[in-house]
Amino acid sequence: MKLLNKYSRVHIITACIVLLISSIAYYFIIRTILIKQIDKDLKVEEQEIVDFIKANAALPHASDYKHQQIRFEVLKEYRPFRETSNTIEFDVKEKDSEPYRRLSFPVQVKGVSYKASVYKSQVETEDLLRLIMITTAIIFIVLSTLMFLINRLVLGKLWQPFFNTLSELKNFDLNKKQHLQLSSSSIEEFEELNRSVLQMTEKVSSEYETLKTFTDNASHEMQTPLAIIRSKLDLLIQSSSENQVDQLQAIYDATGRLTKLNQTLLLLTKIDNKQYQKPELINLKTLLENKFSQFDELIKGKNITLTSDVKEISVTINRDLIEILLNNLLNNAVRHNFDGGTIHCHLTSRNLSITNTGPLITFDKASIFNRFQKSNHSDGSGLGLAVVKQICDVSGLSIDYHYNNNKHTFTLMF
Amino acid sequence: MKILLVEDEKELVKSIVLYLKEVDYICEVAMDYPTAMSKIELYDYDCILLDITLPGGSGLNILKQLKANNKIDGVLIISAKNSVDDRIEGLQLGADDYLPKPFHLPELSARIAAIIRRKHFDGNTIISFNEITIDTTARVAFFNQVPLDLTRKEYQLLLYFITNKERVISKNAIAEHLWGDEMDMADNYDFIYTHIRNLRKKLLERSSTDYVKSIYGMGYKFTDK
Repeated sequence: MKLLNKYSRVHIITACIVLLISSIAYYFIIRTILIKQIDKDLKVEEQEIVDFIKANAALPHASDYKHQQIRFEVLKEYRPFRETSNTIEFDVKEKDSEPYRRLSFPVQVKGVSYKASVYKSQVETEDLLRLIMITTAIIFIVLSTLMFLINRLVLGKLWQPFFNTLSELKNFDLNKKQHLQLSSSSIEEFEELNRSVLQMTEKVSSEYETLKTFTDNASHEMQTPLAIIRSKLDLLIQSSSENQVDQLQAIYDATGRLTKLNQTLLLLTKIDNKQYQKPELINLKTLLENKFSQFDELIKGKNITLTSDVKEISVTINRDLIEILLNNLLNNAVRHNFDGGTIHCHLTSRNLSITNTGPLITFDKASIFNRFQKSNHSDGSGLGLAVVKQICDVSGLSIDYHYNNNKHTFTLMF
Repeated sequence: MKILLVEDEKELVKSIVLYLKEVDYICEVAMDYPTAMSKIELYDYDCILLDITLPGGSGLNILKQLKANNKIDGVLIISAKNSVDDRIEGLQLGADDYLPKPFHLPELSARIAAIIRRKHFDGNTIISFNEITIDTTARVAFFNQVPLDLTRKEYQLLLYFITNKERVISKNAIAEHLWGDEMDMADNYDFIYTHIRNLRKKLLERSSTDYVKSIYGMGYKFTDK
């Protein structure tokens, strides 16, 4: 859940509860006050009746006004009491039941005891309460809506710097050597966040740069010693004796592997440093067919059947890069294939897929494009597919790997 | 044939000089930029092997100077800086070829031979070894003036052998020469055996001498001895 929504929800729920409780309390408080007012009026009425009896020694007329009634009942014997209660009385004129407040007390006129009851209608009180409640409800709705809108607008605006920073971070790419464009904010917390983010990304960038320079330098520096070793080996075999052959061959092969590894690392750095720029329109069909004939020997040597379904397609890409990419994919398809296996190439206007038979990979397939990731049975450098991925990354292509029906498929999408 | 080697790595210089001497080149050495500059001013060479990164200056400047002096010396850049830009710049400045380090000495020798052929034997690009002659323009090999029916790989192999005659060439150097570094041939020598066997067979059909000698299975030597 978004922070804004969560905050709004908490805010509104709290407001609802508080308003609900307060309106209930409000209702009862106002009601009590109003009833007290009625009781006071009733008391005045009581006093008037008592005064009238004292003065006239007779009962006043039982009256029946709209909102006030006075009734007398004969009591068998006199006993002091005083009771106040709420009753519902049927109003003959209005033909309606209405709530009344009743005050009953005893009076004596010429030795006869009466129970005097004064009724006062509560309709006005109820009306007033209803009005108050409606007003409260309207205020409540208006307040909630306002609060919701304010949260939306103000909080959204307040958090804007945070979202800006977030989106900048999302688009941050180490390879692009860019600096984050963080908008400054008047809010201290966000300013601090921006400062920390800038510091961190700059540190990461510089570490990354150091690492890259190191790989670059190391690979370059390795070339000269390798050149010396190779040249000495070429000289050494001119006068070698038979019993040194195995050792020499092993050194040759190891030097060859090291050279290949070094060249591939250099290639990765070069692709990284965008040294292959100029894209040109490449006819993929022609290029693929060239590659097939180039790999012909290798494919036949392993008794592999190559089938292809190739359309006339051109893509815009650097020639060196697409050649390296196809070389690596085909090398891969041959190297990790069974003797007598198959390779199928399918080229459409959207994608190129190369499918080959081969043993199951022994690692997580998500890491197949990682550097130095290789199966236990593989004796390659473990860099071929990393190069492929890197080329795809700089050329705006995407590549996928699938395995089903004992077949490996690499799909290149233009 | 006179060669100038401009290279600052002492051990590499020793190896190259030793190997080139054996294939009959006279090799002079310049181990830094000023020496190289003064040598190219004073003498003419058939081929200059030029390293780009030198103490005292860039090899590319030497190349510019050569061009300014209208020298026709062939230039082969041998550089550890195998960058596309360097390669393109070097070739644009008039270098004849570019060989990235590390390389095999037979490969170096073959490249030098190709440059010298292009530069000096104007029109005459025939090389020969006993009864074998190779027309490098037409890319045809003859045995006693009768064309040999060779595949492209067999032709490359024969040319490579003759430019490195009497030298032992390792299988690794042959593989790299025939397939370059594009293909993953490092662990697969079967293809070399096949091509060498076929070439040998085609030569033996015409000749009584087997020129291709296998050296303990680790390499080959093209020799009439």
